[in-house]
Amino acid sequence: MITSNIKYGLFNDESDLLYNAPSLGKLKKRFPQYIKNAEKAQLYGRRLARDVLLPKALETDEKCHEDPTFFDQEVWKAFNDAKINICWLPKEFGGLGWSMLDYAAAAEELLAADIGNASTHLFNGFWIMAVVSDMRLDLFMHAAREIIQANNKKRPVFFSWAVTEPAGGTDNLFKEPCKTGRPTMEIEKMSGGYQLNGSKCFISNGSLAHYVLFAASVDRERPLETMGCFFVPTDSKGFSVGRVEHKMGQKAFQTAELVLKDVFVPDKNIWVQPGKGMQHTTEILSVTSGSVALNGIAVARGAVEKCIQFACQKKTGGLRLIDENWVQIAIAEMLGEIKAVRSRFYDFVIALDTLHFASLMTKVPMKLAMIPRELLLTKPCKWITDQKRVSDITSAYKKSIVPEETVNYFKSYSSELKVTGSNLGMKITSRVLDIVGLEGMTRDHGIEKLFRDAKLLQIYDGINQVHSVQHFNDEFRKVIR
Amino acid sequence: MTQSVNNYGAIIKECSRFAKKEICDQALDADFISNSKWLTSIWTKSMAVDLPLLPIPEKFNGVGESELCCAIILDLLASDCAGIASAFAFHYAGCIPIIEDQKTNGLSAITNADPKKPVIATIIFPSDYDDCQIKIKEKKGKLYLSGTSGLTGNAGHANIFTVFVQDGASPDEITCIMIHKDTAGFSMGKPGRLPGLKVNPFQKLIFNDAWIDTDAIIGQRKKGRSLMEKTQNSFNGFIAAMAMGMIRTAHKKALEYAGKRYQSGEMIIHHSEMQRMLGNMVTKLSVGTSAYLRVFNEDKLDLPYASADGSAAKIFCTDSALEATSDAIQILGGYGYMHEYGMEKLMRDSKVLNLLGGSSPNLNVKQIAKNIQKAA
Repeated sequence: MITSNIKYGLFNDESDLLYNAPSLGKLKKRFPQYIKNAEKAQLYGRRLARDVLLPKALETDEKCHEDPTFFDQEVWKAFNDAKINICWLPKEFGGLGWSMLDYAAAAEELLAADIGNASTHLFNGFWIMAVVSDMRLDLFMHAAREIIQANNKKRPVFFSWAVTEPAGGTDNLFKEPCKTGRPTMEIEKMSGGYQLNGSKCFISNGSLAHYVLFAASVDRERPLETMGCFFVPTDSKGFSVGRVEHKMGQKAFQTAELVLKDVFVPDKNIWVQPGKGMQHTTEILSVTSGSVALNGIAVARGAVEKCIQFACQKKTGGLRLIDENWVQIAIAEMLGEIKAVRSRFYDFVIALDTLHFASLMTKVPMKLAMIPRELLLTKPCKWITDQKRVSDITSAYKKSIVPEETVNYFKSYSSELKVTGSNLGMKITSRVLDIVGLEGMTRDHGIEKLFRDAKLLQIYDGINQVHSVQHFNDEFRKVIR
Repeated sequence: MTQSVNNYGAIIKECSRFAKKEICDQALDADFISNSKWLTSIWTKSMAVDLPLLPIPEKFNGVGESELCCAIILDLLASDCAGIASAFAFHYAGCIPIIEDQKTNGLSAITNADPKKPVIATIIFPSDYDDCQIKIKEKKGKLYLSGTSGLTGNAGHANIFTVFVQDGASPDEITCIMIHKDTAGFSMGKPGRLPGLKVNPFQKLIFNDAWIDTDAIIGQRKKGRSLMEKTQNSFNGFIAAMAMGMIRTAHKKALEYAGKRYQSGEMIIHHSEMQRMLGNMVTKLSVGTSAYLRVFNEDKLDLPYASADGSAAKIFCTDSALEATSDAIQILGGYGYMHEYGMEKLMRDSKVLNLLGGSSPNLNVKQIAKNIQKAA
């Protein structure tokens, strides 16, 4: 176990959520339980981060450098026992019943300790966004059942989302680039389903996945209008994992090429019908891109916390580095920048809890669906939830709670945060290295790893520049002619 | 300036051929496994083109080229592999005090070395940190070194260590000593393991009452401050030159990719943001190159209000290299972040160069502090 005599950040035994995001204080008066739960979740995440991730971060980074397919079973087990993979599910389902705020408070701690390893497990929660988008109860229950059973049986189950194509980058993520894009996947309508051929690249958790949701266009001449989402179990005939990439950072977060050769996807596994794919993708991005900001905040604070520890130990001319005026000012400025972005991020999180998909978890129909887990896994329950009419009702209800305008608003918010947060991560990790110098940059201090890790945030989930264009268009196109 | 650079045309050509043949294709693989043995083999091969002898005067059987020429060659080498270039930069800087003092034994050792057992130099300046200090002790008329240095490039494969040590209470009292690898009481710390320049074996040097012959002192004892400043200035100039080599490669690769990558109905090179980033690289390359060339050519443009300071050039050039390589990764997108495309290596290398010899804010502080000290 790594310890520190500076009781700050990851080593603070008390929750500092309200100190770090004071605007939550206002909410605490009106909704004390909401904030109390988040404070609890923060400490829950912090303990896991300190006990499991932090001591292994450098070792895992090194192992993954040598073998990019290395997967740390012990970390997975600890996360599984802690129910991080089902934290979204209501307690009645066996989950932790976390709100987005709870999730954010815990995730920041985990990501600050080791963003690569933490991302592997946190990204796995993406499935809930993929199914909540259309709120088809059959898909939701299917995925929930699968992940609960896996949790009970203590075996990993990973979901992944495959969008990026070779030479096309993340064009498929956004309307404009998608409209004129040149996708390479070939999709052919067959009797009873579709046949998929081609490859996807840079797929997070792709090499670990048991199920992959492919966002791809049926007609390559009209990619935007014909994009759909195809659910592919990775044991399907014709599915294979190609190269697992050697990345600069976040090495524990596997990135793979996925190859499809005559993979048949039956109609029941068409998660989103061709034509509705972009709206589905937009809805996922409206949450995930914003969450990238949290990763930026986490690496930035992880670096500053390590910087403070280093600067307290190192002396120069009899003075500790931390006593140098320019160092103190740099640290204070960095903390200020982190807090400013964090504040904006927590606003986003609260908005997700109030207006977006997370609000569904507290609505009446969801409560009705909170069948005790013993019943959840039974056949009669499956029969009911598999009925198309039931899914149509839940789907329509979800759209009344989270209409398209809400999703579009969040998409813009999410893009803005993604860029701000990831730039923060890069800027601060680099500035911390400037303070600790060459000696602090050596591997054992772990700061250089954060610098390498941070760069990925400006690239994945859609490159920053494209997000900025999207943000600009969403914010100003309607007012600038 | 153009004329003087053109004077090096033949050397530049020869070194380009050498880099293309020996360094270019293997740099990525060597970086991946931090292969310092590869560096040793490159060094041996480089002796055929006299690279290690570049700054050594002809009368000692060297090439006798100027520091300016060395900087231009480092720029060139860094465009293929900054790790290799950095090894030569440490070597050249390590040679400067020896050349200044015409230390025959050191220079002959380098020029007369068996190519299979090359003699490589490196440079050590006093560290900022209190726990990384080397001291000179006098016992019964003999001089001994004790203490630990800061992280030093080439440490793992050098044979000659040119060490500047504070020799007294005042930071002005500097002694320069040339130490051989086999000196009793001299050993190496564990490998530094930096994220960039990975083929260069960075280590700390540990002195445990290492006896030094008075003959090992370069110049006069306690009078080495100006020699140290001169060497530091050149070393910073070398780092600046390497940073420029890296920007050139980043720009070249990004430009090539931007011309091939299609998005939103056109190649991304037509997107104005891509043009801004690529243009910024060209600007930084242009200004940075002028800055480092001037460090070695101050007499051509001696401006009292803007001295050609090596650390200023180093700050500008390495900050620019970090910005350029980071932008280049953005242009390449996911490919930029993957090892096999070589761009992420450029960014890692550039951040190490950025911190080598002191980070930018640290150097800015030192720069002013030094002037205050001088005025006092």
